[in-house]
Amino acid sequence: MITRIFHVTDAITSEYFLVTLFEEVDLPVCQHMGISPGFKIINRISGRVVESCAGYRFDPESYCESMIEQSRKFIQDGTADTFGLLLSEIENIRKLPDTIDVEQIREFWIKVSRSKLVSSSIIETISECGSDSLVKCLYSGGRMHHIALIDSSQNKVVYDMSTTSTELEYILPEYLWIPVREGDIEYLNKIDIYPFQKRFIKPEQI
Amino acid sequence: MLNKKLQDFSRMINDFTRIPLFEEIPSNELHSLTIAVSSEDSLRARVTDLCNILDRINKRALDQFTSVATEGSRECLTCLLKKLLPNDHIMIDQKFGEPIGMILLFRAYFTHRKNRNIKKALEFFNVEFPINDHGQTWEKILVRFSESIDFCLEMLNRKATMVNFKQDEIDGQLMTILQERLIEKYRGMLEEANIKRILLYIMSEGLIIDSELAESFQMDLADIRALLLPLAPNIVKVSYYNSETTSIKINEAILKPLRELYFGELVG
Repeated sequence: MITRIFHVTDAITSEYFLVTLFEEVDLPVCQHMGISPGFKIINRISGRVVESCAGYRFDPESYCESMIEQSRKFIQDGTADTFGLLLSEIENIRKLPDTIDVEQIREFWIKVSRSKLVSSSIIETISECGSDSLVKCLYSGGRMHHIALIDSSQNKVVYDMSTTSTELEYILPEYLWIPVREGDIEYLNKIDIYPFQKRFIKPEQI
Repeated sequence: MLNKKLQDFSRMINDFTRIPLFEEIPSNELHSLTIAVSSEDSLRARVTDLCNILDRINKRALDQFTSVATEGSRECLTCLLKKLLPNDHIMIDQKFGEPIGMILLFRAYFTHRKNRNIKKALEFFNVEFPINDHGQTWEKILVRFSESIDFCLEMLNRKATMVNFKQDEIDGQLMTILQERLIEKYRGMLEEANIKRILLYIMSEGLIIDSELAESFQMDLADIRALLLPLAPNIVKVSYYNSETTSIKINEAILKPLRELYFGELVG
């Protein structure tokens, strides 16, 4: 492949393009990537902003051939994110092998960067309303199970999160660790917590 | 000197491809490169010899190796180098493909002097038209050719001696980085005396029920949960135990750096 930097100017603009062209000699790698020699990757670089597109032809007058139509946004992807982490930490990419297996790092990453045990929205609600006036409850409505926070000073539901019944055991640690007291069942029965049929669940019933 | 470089180049190509660079070593041409140039005739003879050396490469076999049906010796060698050095294509074009192309172009000076491409080749070698100093011109051409071979030797040598990161080294390095980041993120809390005591206790127990932990530290269950909540689940892992209690253990992924943080201090 050949990669070149082009400075493209006209009367009022000055732009830099980094163009990579795959050649015949790259045929084996092209086959793996599902492309043919002649494929080009075009990057327009302006400071840290890079716009990219790829294809064989970029004729704006042909259907779906213009650079804009052939550009794609980077989508959220654990493999790409792990590769990004790798590129951030290892400066000399020459030293990287041609094939990199990111599976182990991905698994490890999940273990050390999981979301909170108690979801951020619950913590935010508690800090907004104050833990003294809030009570928590676990209830089922139809086939769904819910965790709810009720502002006892206003008898008002301030937070409600549903989960499927199969996940009840899974959400119980989160429910138990929510740092507010559990609502009394007689009090909860007076609250219009769910417009349809509701049934409060006491953890000891599980 | 150049003779030796070309032999080294040939040997390295053979090492990588198991294909001899030349079908037959062009000994006469290689020897003739050292003969002094004093006239246009001798310049023409040397340039022809140099081009003949390039034309004597084992093109058919090398084309098979690269799987590219190239059109000439320059393209064949450029493709070969690109195949062997897939991360250095730009440099190969600039430091090998272009000078060799210019030498082959220069050959036309003696036959098609009015060809405008000749001017390009002369400019490349910094030679004025028409050529007056043939000896100096030959030296300039030889220097560029020699530099091209030096470049190839350097790059192939680098490939032969390059020590790449191995997969487990990459995994290890990134895991360490992620662990360090996590320790840094929670360092303030981890160094608080009461949290440190509780975490050391959990470490020694391996796995403990939260109600037992609260009892051991004479705290309310709700208080110890509230205290440890910011550390869950990345430092302490909380799991279902029964309807009222949970089990707690240190996240195994962070156990090693946490030990280093705590026991490293004690040792220090």
